[in-house]
Amino acid sequence: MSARCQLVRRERAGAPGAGTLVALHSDGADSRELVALCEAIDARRAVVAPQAPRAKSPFHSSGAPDTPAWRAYAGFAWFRRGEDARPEPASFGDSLAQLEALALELHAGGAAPLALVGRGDGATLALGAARAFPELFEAVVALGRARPELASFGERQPIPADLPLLELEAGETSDTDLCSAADRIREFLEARREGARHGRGREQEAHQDVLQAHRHG
Amino acid sequence: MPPENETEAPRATRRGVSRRDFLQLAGAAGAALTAAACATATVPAAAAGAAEPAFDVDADVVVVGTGAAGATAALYAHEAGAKAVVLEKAPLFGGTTAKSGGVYWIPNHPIERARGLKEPRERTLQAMCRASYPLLYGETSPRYGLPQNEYELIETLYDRGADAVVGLEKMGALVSMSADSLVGPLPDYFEPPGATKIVDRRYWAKKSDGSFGLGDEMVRQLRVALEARKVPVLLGHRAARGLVNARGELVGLEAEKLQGASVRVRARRGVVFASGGFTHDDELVRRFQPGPVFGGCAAPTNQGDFVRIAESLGAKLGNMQSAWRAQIVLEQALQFSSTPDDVFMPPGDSMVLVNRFGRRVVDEKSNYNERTRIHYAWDPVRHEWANLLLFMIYDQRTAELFAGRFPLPPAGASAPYVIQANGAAALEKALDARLAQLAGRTGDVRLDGSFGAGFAETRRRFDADAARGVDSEFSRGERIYDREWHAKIWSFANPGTKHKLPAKNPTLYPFAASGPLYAIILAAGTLDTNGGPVIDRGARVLDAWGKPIRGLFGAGNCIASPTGPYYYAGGGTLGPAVTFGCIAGENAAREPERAAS
Repeated sequence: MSARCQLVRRERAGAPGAGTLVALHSDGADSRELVALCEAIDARRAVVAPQAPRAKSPFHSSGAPDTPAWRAYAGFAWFRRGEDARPEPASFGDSLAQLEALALELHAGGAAPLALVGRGDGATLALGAARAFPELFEAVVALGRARPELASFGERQPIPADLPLLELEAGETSDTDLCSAADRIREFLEARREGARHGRGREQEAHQDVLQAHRHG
Repeated sequence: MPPENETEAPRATRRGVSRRDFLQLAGAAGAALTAAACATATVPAAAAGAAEPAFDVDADVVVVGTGAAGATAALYAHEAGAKAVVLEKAPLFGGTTAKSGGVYWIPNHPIERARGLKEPRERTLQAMCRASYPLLYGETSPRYGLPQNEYELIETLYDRGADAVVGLEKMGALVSMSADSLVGPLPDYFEPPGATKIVDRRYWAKKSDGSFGLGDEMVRQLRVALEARKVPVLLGHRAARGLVNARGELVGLEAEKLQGASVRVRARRGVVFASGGFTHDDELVRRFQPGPVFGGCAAPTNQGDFVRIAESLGAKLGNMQSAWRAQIVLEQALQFSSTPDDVFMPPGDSMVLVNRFGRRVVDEKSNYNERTRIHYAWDPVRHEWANLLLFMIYDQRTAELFAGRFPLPPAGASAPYVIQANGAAALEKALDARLAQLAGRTGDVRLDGSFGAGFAETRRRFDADAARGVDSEFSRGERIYDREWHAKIWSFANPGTKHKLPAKNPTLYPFAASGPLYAIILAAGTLDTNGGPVIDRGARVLDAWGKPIRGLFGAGNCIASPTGPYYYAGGGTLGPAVTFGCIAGENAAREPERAAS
C-alpha cells in the first residue's frame, strides 16, 4: 500500500518550531482559497493547503477555463453528496484517508504541531478528522456550514472533549472578507497554546504517542 | 420493512481510517433512506394466494442502477404503463454517469438534421461497423461482414438512438443541446480515411437557464422526472440474485442492503439490469481482462454484480476482455482504485510517454480508449507486459505552459506523484527509486538498464521531429482528433506565459536542452468495463445458445457493449446506454405477467 498522501497542495514555509496550519478549502474552490487567511492568522506558522481531489468538471480536471460557460464547473470537491445532502461515504472516506496520510507525513517531517482549518465542505472534513484522528491536531477550526455530517459516524465517534475546537458560522467568514475571522482564530489558537504550556507534560507525551504510532503504522 | 438491525459500530478508529469502513457506513445511510421510500412509495405485495411466496416490494418492472441507462429504462417502463421500481446499490443516485462529462453520442439527431447536416443511414452504419469490427468488415459483404446480432445492435443504435433521446425530452425528463456549444464541433474518435470535415454527434443536458450541464445535471434531470412520476428508487440496495418460479422463469430479485438485511423484490413482467461494469472487482478483472486494471473512474460500487447473477441464469457473456479504457495516475490508483480522475490526454507538447526501456510506444495524443490498450502489449521473450507502466516525461516549459491540465499540478502547487530532477540521469535515478518503493504493487516493474540510452535516443529523434513538426514514429498531431482535442479541451495553453506555441504541429515541441525534467507514472485504468451478458436488438439478455432469457433485459456498462470494443466518440458510452435503456424499459413493460410460483 502506497501510504503517501496523493493530494496536490500549496505550501508556505514558516518560522522554525511555530507549527503548521493545514487549510481545507470549501466546495468549488481550490487550494488557493485559504492561503491568505492563514497568513493573516499567523505569518510565523507554515501553511499546507491541500487541494480536494475531485474536479467539479471531468473535462477541465485541474481547473476549468475562466469563461462564463465553465464557471459552474470550476474548482474541486472533497466528496460527493447524497440525496439527503449528507456526504457520500466512499468519497468522504477517501478524502479523510488522504488527510490522515498528509498529517502523518507532516508529523514525521517535523512540521507539528498542526492546526486544522477548514471552510464549508473543508470544515465538514475537518470535523471528520477531529473524530477519527484528533491526536494529530493541536486544534481544529471549522468555518461556515459544516453540517450535516456523515450519517451514523458522528454519533458513534464523538469529538474528544479535550480537543480545542472553534466553529464559526458562515456569515462570520464571508466570501468577500475571508480574513475577517483571522483575529478571532489567532486568539483561539494562541489561547490553546497558552493552555498547553500549563499542561506541558501531557502535551509532550501526546506528541510522542503520535510519532510512536506512525513508526509502527 | 423490518427494523434495522443494530450492527457493530463501524471501525473508524483513532488511527488508520480505512475506506472500507466508509463503504459500510454507506449501508447505514442507504438504509435510512430506504425505509422512508418504501413506506411512502411502494406497496407490499398482496398475499393474493396462499401459495404466492412473500415479497417485500412489488413491481411490474424492476430496474437495477440509476445511471443514464437505468433512469431511462425506468422512465420508459413507467410511460409504457408498468409499475417500475429502481434498485441502487450506492447511497447516491446517478452511478458513474453522475461523475462523468454527461455527453451522449447519438447519430442522426434532429438537432443535427435541423442544422442541415445529413447523415445517411448506410454511410453511417458502414463507418460504425468498420470502427467496431475492423477484422470482420467488408464493404460489399452482407451486413458489412458482421454477424447478425452484432449488426442489428449497431443498426438499432442508429435507428432508435435519436428517438430515445427525443422521447425523454417529450416526457420532460431530459432537455438536450449539442455539445458543440462550448468550443465548437469536436471530432469522433474514429476517423474514416480522408476525413476532413468534423461532424459532431455529441449531446448533453441543457439547464433551465440555457447553459450546458455535465453528468451531474443529466442524472439530476432524470431523477426529478422519476420523482415526478413517483417511481420508487431504493438506495443502498444491491441486487444479489435472481428469483425464479417453478418453471425456471425469472420473477424477481433478492436485494441486499449493505449491512446484510435482504429484501425480496417482485418483478411481474421484467427485470432490467442497467448497473455498472466490474472495474472494482479484482476477481472478475483477473478472469476476463487482458492484463492488470489498476483502477478507474467507475463508481466504487461497480463490482460486476450482474456478471455473476447473469452467469447463474445461464446468460452468454461477451466483450469481457474490453473496457472503456483510460490511463490513470498509478500512485492515485494504488491509494484507492476508484480514482478521482483519469488522464484523457497527457497535456503538453514538450512531453513524451516512454516505457521502462525509455522508448515511446504510442501517439500520446490519440484517444484514451485506444491509447490505453498499448499497456497490454506482451513481450514474449522477457515474459512481461513491456508497457505495464508508462512514464509521462516533460520539461519546465510544459510544466508551466500547461499547468493545471490534469495530471500537471496548477501553478504554484505541487503534486506528490510528480517526480522532479535536474537532467535525464538524475530523473532516471529518481524514477527508479520511486518504482522500487511501489514494487510490491506493480509486479516489481523497474527501469531497464538500457533506459538511459533509450531515452536519450528517444529524445534526439523527438526533438528533431518536433522541430520539423512531423512525428516520424507515431504521426502525433496528424489526425484531427489529436489537434482539436489537444488545443481545445485537454491541453490548452495557459495565457500570459513567456513560452511560444509550436508553429507547425501544435502537439510537438522540442525538449529544453537543460533544466528540470519531470515524470509521472501512468497505468492502465478504465472509465468502466463494458463487457457482460450479450443482448439482442430488443435489449433482451441472451442465453448461452443465443435465445432470449424471458423477462431479463440489459443496458449500460453491465452488458456486452452494443458497439463491441469500440468507443465511437465522446458520449460513445452514454449514447448506447440511453438507447438500449429506453428499449429495455419499454420491452420489459410489454412482457406478459409471470406467476411467482
